[in-house]
Amino acid sequence: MSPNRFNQIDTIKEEFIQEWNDGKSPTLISYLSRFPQYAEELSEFVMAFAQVHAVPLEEAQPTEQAKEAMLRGLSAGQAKARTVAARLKEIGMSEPELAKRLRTPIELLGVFHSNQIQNVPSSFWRRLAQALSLSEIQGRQMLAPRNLAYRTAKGAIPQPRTFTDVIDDLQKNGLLSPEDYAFWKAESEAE
Amino acid sequence: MQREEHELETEEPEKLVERIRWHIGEVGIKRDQPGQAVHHEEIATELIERLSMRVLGKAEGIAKRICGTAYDLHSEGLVEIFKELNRVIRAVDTREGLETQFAATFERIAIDACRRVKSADHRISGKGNRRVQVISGDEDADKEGGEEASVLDQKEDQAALRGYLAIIGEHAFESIAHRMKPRQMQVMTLRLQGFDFKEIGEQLGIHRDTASSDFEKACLFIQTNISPERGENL
Repeated sequence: MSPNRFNQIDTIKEEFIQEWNDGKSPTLISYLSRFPQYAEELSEFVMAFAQVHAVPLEEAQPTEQAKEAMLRGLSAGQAKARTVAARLKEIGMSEPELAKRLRTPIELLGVFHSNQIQNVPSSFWRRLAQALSLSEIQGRQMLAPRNLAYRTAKGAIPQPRTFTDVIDDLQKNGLLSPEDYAFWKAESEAE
Repeated sequence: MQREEHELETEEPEKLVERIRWHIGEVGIKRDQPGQAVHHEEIATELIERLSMRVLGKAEGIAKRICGTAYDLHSEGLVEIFKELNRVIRAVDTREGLETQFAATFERIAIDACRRVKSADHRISGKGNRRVQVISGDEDADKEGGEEASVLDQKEDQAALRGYLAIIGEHAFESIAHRMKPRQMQVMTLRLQGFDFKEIGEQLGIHRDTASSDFEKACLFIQTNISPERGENL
């Protein structure tokens, strides 16, 4: 989708919200008739808008968890790095420090690049995002298998592996401490 | 309204701070000390943080409504909201850009960011499959022409549907809910929960095109059976 199209849809969405905030009664149907070319995007947006405004939104005092997420989001917005190594340099963190925060050996990150790993506990993504001050989506993108399309075309992608299998291997090779192994085993089983 | 990426990267920090100050001057700004070096990037960051603090309560409410609170997904929604807010504030290049419609811009950013998180959650980790299916529609009844079925069993779904219907033009939910075909109601409710047509098709055992068609029919049904006013309950 072109940047212009994005901007145009954003402006239309904001017009819808502004009308609502002004106490008018904007309707999806009226917007669809005005902008049929954006039917799908507008429908999805208005449905989410309705979820928010179905009952009055109460603004509570923000929690500490919310403040942490806000600061992480602002930091993530500044991130220019596209790889874990570049992000570490950007925030001045060492690999061992990251490994300590993740409770996994740094070698695990390399496994993500060369394999498709399934059933990764959500707590792993959360730890990675928090450690690198990124959103989880950014963290997942940084660990996505590399050259996937090319390798798939060449038949060079191995069978997907499960997270549990990977940590089993790491433990057998003496890269994962018994405590961390037990921790990730429990996390995997919990999900 | 928004600048190209390459322009953003080369913008002088002084200009950035000047614009942000203009946009959010009422928040209060750090005074530059005479004789001291001015770190405009730090000032810009501080200003954006203050602005973010002002809208954090609302952001949290939106994130909880759209992402839900399971698996801390709303926290990830918040991260995405402020990541995008930071980008947009730095990208708006006209004074009118944020000043006149900041509330609308913020809410648009928040809703879209949370939708992205929820969508990524479904796509990447398959958590969508773990969600409790709240629809208990009777497919057989639907096949027989649509008897009144208990398609909305949970209050929160009803509330969401009321809100949705209000926005597309509903006034009296009760008067039309039982007249809709159960499957159309199922499709609409699943759409409200963020599922796409393919996922809805899989859940209901129908083709995605059928799900899409049912959704359109439901919208048309509502449009032609209700008055275009905001519901009183809102």
